[in-house]
Amino acid sequence: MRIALLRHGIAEDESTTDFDRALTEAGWLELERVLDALTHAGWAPGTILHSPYVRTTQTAASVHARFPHVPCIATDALAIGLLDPIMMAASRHVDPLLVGHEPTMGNLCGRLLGAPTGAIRFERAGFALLEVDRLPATRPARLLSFLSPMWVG
Amino acid sequence: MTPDEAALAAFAALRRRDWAGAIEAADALRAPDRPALEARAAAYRAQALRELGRLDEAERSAAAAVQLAKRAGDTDGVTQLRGLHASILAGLAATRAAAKERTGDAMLAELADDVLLGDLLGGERAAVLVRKAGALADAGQVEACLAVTERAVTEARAAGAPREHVLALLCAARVSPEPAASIMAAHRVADATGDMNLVTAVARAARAAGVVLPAPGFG
Repeated sequence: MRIALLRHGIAEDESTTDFDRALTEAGWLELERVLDALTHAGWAPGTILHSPYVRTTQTAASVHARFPHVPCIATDALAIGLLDPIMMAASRHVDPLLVGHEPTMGNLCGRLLGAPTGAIRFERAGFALLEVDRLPATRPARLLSFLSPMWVG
Repeated sequence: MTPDEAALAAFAALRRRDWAGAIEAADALRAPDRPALEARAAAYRAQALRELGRLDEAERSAAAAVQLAKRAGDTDGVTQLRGLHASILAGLAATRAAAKERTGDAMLAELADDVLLGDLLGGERAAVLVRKAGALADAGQVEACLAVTERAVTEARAAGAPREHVLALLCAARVSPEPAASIMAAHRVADATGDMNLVTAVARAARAAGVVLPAPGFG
């Protein structure tokens, strides 16, 4: 199975609460450029799982707008950064895309690849695509793609 | 409850605005070997405490969350949690300032007018009297409040201070069982100044008291 990881786009520095921070105009544009590149390369998610924070919900909505037939589900474990429950939730879906925050996305990617904690870091709107035998994985995943928003557009 | 379950329960409680539930779940989380998770729990507790108005405890919890996130090496978390801590500190400072002002006003209500006014002149005298009248109104001392507002009106009129004149009349309206006369008088003074802040303040007081103000004329 393939598992995709996407960090939310650039968000406002401040809002009423951290939960409510929304994507900025630049964040939307950059995210769209990343999604253009991914869809152009033929990538498509089977399910979208996202943290319920506003910036991740908006990021997931951007993906969902391109793949409206795909389920889009808010998952609290992605907000908190609980790796085991995230893996558990992802294992119930085919080719899931996980939309979340740092350091969770980096730690998740690191754990799947067998890298030490903190070794991998996602930029905002950063994306990775990995191939795993199953979840929880029994051997290190294969990294198929790692995309920085700076490399597109 | 495992630490993961406790964190999920705290987060879910926070989202449904169950502040007590969020605090309970965050308190149940024990994971000394996972400082990043403990930082989140402390942040959830801080947010819930803030919503409950328990700002001193919220501040301590937010400060602890920052320290835990630092220990975990969670730089993004530290930035966010510092923001949370700063916003709670700002709330705490505002609450303390308001409490201090309330204490000051309460003392104001106790002081005799002559002591209070000292060698103040003109509009300043009226402003101090209006503030004292407000403190007396807050304390429920209706008779004393009406006496001070009357003196404030006289001082404001003599000093040509329409703002204090209007505020004194509105203060009288606030405690009076028959507020209409004071509100209508305030309306006339405010209308003559053309100061929209005063006009709006009078309109708001009229709405609250159920007093209908005359429609503005044209020409």
